[in-house]
Amino acid sequence: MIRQLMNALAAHPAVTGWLLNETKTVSSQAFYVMQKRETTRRVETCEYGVTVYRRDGDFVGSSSFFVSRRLTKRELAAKIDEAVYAAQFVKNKAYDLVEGGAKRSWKEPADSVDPFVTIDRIANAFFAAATPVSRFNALEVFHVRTTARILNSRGVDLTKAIAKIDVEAIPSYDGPERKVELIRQFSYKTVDFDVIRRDAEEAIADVALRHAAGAIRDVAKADVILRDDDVAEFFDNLIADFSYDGVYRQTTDKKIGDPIQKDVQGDLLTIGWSPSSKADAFDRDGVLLAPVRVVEAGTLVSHYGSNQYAQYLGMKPAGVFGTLEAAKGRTSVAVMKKKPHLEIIALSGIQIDTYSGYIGGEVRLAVWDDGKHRVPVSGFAFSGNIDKALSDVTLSRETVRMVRYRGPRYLKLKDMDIL
Amino acid sequence: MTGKFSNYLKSKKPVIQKLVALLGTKFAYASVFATDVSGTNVAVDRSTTSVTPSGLTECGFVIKVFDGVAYAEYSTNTIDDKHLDDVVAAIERLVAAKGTVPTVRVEALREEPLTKSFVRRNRGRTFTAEETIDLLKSIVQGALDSSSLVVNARASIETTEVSKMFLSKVKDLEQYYTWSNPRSFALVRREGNTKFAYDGFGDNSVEHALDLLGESMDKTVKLAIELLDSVPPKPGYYDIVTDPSITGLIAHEAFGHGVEMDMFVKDRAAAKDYMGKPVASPLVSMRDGAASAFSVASYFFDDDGVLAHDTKIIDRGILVGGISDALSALQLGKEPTGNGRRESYKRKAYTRMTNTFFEQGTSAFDDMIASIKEGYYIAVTNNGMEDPKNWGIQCTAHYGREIKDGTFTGKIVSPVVMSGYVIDLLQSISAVSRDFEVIGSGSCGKGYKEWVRVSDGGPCLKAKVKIG
Repeated sequence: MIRQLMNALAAHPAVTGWLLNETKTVSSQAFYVMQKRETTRRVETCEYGVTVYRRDGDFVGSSSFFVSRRLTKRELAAKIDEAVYAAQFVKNKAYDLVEGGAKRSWKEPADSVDPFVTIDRIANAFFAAATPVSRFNALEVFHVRTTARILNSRGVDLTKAIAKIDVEAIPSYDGPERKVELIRQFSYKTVDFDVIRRDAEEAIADVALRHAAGAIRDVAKADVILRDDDVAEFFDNLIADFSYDGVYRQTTDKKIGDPIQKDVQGDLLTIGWSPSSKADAFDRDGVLLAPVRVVEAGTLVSHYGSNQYAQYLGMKPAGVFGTLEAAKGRTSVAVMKKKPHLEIIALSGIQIDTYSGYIGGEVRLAVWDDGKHRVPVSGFAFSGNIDKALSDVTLSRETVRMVRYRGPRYLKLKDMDIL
Repeated sequence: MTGKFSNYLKSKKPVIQKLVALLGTKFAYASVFATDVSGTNVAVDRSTTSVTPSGLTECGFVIKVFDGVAYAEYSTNTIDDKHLDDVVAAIERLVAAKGTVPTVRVEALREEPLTKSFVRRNRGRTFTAEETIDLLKSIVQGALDSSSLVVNARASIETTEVSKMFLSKVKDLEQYYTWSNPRSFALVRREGNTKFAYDGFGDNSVEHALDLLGESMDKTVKLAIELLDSVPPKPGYYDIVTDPSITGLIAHEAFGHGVEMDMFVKDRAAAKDYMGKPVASPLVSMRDGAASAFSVASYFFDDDGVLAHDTKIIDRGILVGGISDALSALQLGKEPTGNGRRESYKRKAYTRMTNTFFEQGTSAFDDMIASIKEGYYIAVTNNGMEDPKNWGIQCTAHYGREIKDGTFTGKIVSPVVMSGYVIDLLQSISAVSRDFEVIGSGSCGKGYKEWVRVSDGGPCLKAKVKIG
């Protein structure tokens, strides 16, 4: 198919450049209901994204289409003609496609065990954490191996094979008067049953806490400690607009050297992007990925992002990454928790609006620690001003490694409103 | 747009029928769901234009079998005579991968014989890429010219053409329909203060959608500029009046997810124990269904091959029904409601909402505003998150307008994050307006994944909520 696409693109007189993205997916999936297997699925697909470029002096037009099946010569010609036609009206400022070097490939080691055997073991590891009153009412395990190959008309030919296991687990607790649950998502690059067992046990312990949780009383302000995914989401929101795309489209007015924290009394933030693994070596344009620091010690030091927008800004393309990386702090979580605080265990979703300065969210489970007692609490919201919070943020020296994030596991925001 | 059912799927029908017959000799149940969705998203902002495939674009097959013990599905984009044995072998390998965890007790899906094909074409004329880009460019330029505060504006239209086919031993269904989603976005800045606004809607006429996009952009720019003076609301409990999008968000997040009956099977929904009981103010009635309204989720049959329904969920405050996919309905001993939907052919079908809304009431909007002592009119959906088992709620509106003593004060707040307990919110509804709108531009995840297109809406509601 690749050869057919390349030949057709190369032969078209109006195509001045092209990009092919081939994605092969092999995914094994199992779905458990009330700790019993309900459905198994297997996905074996090969799909192509095709982008044609039509350069005209200082302008370039592009148009993409998607191919998911073998096309006849005539069908393919029609698709390319249609894309070429549309591309002539897309008069973007000209830029060059990524230039190729040697053909290269990267591969994460394949699991030597049958994926369904691994899935079965993972399910058993989760279910082993159940107690007479708590279990996983739903568990979904996705074992995914994706092979992405990128070719373009300037000689790029790169391939990477990436694997991961995603788990959605619903720990549930049946109390005498009420039943509660939490939604937990895990993503693993490697199968480490110690980690999986710890995650399962923590999920079951958390849902027992939710059952025990009551309303928060007489707390109008509190220091809030976020952890894991919420910390990742917080950092992600902070730097999202600092991409080349964001700068070019003016979604940010921050410039290199501008502080993102003011009147700092707490930790200075250092945040960037990294490939998710050594094999995750290039982005969808074929830009080779190397870690990039976006914010260093509280100051914007670099932008990041796609080949097209980097060229528009006269910068070196950094690429589009999948893993956020942040520098850890100096404070242990034990010290962080010494003063009264609210430790958030489950939010429905952290809400951050960097333009209005809003940060907050509905708390599904937290532990309120007033210095004397630790009480599980639920059914309230916290909110505050992000700029104020950034001036006195504390990062834990304990770190976490997730597929999408590596960095401090805990982050403390001071003086949030509680309602 | 071709204006007709996929030739490709048509060409595959004989081999799929052969596959279904072959699998029927080996398994208690066998079906093939085939999909060919094409579409384009054209987007223009002040500096760039893009023409990319619609996010819904896909072409592939799901082969589903039941071996008397459990269900198995194989997703592929290759079915042909040459590889038929390979497909059968892949399914047999999948079925053999039993593992050590016991299976649920479930039977073979029961289906009534049905052969039917459905067609719903784009109304009005279609547009060439040149016409579309020119029109979007003029809308963006108009927005940029309208105020020096506008630093960027984006106009886009996503058009999709859907062909789906469902074949089993007794069913032979085909459907073809189109939809388009225009969107506008404006970014404004004044002395380092940046704000944005957006709008989106749906139509099955590209012509009509593009006709309305200019007006949508004008509204978006005006709102974005107004938001430059917005502040976050002071946390507290307020009387509110919702616009139809926030009404829809409440219907969707607060209650819709809770009546997705695959959640009943998993004991994940409190609603299971509330059938026939009051859950909302008597002023509230709610429906969901691909046949309940004409919008983005108005298909003719779902991804399980079940015909579209119109399901009443709440009738004057009483919970009367839920929605289901075929497998969940089977497990619960219910009739499926045509709500089995997949994010794509590569994903499982779950019970999903379609067009979800509260029904119209009798109050006048102006009277509802006049009845508020201190509160907000809140508008434009940003996001929401469900909690079907514990009935927590989080709904975020893009902005709110302050009301004091029954009149708008001119003060605007943003963002407005509402949270609380679903039943408290639904029972606090004290007025339902005569206005009614279902907005067909949304996407919905189940938990944090499995995105499908949905619409929601309804009238304006007066309720009491926690904002903070």
